[in-house]
Amino acid sequence: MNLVKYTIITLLLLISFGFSAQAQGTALQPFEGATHTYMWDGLQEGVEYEFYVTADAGGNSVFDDGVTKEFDFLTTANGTVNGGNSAASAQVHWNPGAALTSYFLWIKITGTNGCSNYRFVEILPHPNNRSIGFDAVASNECFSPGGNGFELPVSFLGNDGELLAQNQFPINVDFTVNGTAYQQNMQSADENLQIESAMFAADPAQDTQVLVEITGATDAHSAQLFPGEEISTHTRTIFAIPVIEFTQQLKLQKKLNEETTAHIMYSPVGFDWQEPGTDYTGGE
Amino acid sequence: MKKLVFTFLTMVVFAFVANTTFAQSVYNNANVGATHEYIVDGLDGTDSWTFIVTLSTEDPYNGGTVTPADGTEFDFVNSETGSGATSASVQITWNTIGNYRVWIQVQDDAGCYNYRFIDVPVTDNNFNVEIIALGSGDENDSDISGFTEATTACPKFVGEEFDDEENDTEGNTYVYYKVTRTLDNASTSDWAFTPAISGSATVTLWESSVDGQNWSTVSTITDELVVTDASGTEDNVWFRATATNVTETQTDLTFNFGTSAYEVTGGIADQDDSGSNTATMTLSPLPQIGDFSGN
Repeated sequence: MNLVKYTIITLLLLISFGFSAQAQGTALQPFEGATHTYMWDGLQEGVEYEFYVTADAGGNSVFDDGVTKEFDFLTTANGTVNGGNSAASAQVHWNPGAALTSYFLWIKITGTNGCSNYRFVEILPHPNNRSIGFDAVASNECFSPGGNGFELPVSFLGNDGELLAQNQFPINVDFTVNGTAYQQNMQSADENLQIESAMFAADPAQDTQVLVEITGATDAHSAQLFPGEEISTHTRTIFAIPVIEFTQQLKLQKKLNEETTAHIMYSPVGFDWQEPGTDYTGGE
Repeated sequence: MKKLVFTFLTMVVFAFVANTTFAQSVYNNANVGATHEYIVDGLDGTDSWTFIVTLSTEDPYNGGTVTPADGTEFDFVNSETGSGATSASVQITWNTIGNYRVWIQVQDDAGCYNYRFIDVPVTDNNFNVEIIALGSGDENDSDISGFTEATTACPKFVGEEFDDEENDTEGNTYVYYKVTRTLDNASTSDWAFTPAISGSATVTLWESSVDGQNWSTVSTITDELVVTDASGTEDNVWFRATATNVTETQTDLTFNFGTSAYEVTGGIADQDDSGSNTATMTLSPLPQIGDFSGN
């Protein structure tokens, strides 16, 4: 009996946490640093609207946007519905320090007859400790004459250290490749950071170090994801093409056969290609 | 000539009050709206008589004009003529302010006439009941005794839910009225009236208050309501209607007690000589709000 009870409780908790996690990053549960748009429709043309934020559901303690640091209206908080519109909206930026306090965003609609009506939504901002980093800090590959671009898996982690929910994508990732800045829009956690060949110069004659560094990331609501410590850089080593010298037999064969080609040199008979990073032991 | 002895006794007679005493209006100094009985005794049992009402300046015995007319300035409640009794009486309701004279013309069996009169100044009864609408309100109105007249208002919010994440609704609104009794003398007197309610607004609850702060449910608003006035100071009674479904279109609510008001103790009816006996509250519609969306 106890097992059943605990199982039910556990399931309920999991469901609860699941909903909570999914809700984060929405307009009603924004991350600190995010900007969201709040809108009511079904309004008559000509009515006046006013957005304001209170500390309680009774609408009594109105925050002064000019004084309160926890949020800012980025658009005008009041106006008139006109021009064929039937909706009123406001953009609110939730600043650091807003988390773990409930705010009540109200809209007051005043008709042309002077009568007013009201609605509100409760908003619970979350702290923003989300991070982004590479799955591995180093990798290598042999130089390829066809191009040396590569992909890097990236991890997006939420406040709880778990992988970021899909609803928080897309995310713009800012990164540098050997100091040159780039940006990539990533639609989901399944995508990899694409490092194109054109982003760096690889020298086939010597090992090339490609340093990729994530410098920042922002979600669709302008809230940041912070580069994770010790996982924000990745070093890619592109090994030089091994230097190959002919054996005496090959030199002789070459001498006798003027049609010996570079292809043959790169596809030697009697040689095994060595893996990068190992010493060549095939003889001279 | 027979000796006639006028003993004017008065009795206020209303269908709804019996055996009342006289708080204000008396037979020889009557108020508008009051009914008094005028009695003459000392008749010999064979006489016939006729009561006549004139202005105090007229003398019908000497050819004066018999005015005013029954049914206008006054009403004979019962027959002004009679015979075959030793006492004659008539009930008169006074309708209009003026100085009147109530005469009795007595004719004996020989056909001879004799007359007596008594002057009856009739003044305003100063009993008045009127009503005003006080606008709309909500639970925050802890004391509405200071509210002033307002016949048009926006609905306020009673039992509302503005949270868009819930089943949002504007709820109901309160509509207030104040009924006021005025009475010149300081006598204590219960007073009463019977409301009639009409209009497009739907009312789910009627409440009354004698202080504008504490409310009691009125089970049937169209029943007669008696205001108990033990101290002589209960001159107001407030009404609070809980109106529902009044936010989307213009609605109205009329509280009308017509001529039903009367002074219970004095038995004087409201003559509607001041203010109004009906009040209509018009509720303007609220602007409607659709759905919320956030991004």
